Amino acid sequence: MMASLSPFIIIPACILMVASGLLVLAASIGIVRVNNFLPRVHIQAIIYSTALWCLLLASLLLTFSLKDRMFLHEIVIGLFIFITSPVSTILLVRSFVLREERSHPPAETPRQDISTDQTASETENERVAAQDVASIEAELEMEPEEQPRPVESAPQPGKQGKEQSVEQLDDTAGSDHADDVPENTERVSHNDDKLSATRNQKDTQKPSDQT
Amino acid sequence: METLLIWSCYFTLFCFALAGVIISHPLFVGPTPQDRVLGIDALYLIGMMIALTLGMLYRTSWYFDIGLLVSLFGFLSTAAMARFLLRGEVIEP
Repeated sequence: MMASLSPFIIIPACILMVASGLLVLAASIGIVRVNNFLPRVHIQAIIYSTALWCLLLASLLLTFSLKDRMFLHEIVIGLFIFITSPVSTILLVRSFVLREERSHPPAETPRQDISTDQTASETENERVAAQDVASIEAELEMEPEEQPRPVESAPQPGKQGKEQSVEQLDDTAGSDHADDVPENTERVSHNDDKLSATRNQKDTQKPSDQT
Repeated sequence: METLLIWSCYFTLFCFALAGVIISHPLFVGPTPQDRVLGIDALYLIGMMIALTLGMLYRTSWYFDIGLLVSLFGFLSTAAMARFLLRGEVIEP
């Protein structure tokens, strides 16, 4: 059946098939060795692109040379994998990113970074705090879209309003940490250093919002 | 000369079978559900490639139809499981 083939067809087909098998074996070993999910997706793309196309090219070579059946099947399979592999990969990565955001909420990490910066430069933060208490009313008038809700029974309405606006900027999720907001404002209003810390955080967040 | 082709087909099948055994490790002990879905996806892909290699070995066009069906079911199952992990339900009311 295969006696009519020349070695110039058989040897590249064999090389492509063996390369495909070794690539799949190496990719499976890499998937087991890697600990995180995102490098696993990256390794699986090797199977999706290189190994599959090597096998399809070998099959196309044999089919073109033998002419015993149509070569449409390989092209259809290649096109199907070419279309559907990014869809499934993107869905999986989006679900993984959503899971990471739920397990580690993004509102926690910048606050810790700001606290370390506060211990590093104490006088700078005190100066910023003094400027903040002086100019907080002007700031509230300059940004009308960040006007907080009216706070009842507030001893210092300017500070707490500012803190609520900062908290609204912090919480991207919003509904998950809605119960934490009054506790945070009460704690921060008693402490000027925390106020300066969140003030610094607001300053660092402001160019990222504009860009 | 065709013995080289047949033995390379056997070697490729052996590599695919070994990779299928190895890749079922994140399917069973994966730390996150996404790892398990990734293992299922890779297992479907390896099954499709085994069907392609068998079609090259026995020169029958049925194996390519089987490979196309396996890749179709693999994509459907992976998309459905990823959507379930993403939204909490597959078909929203």
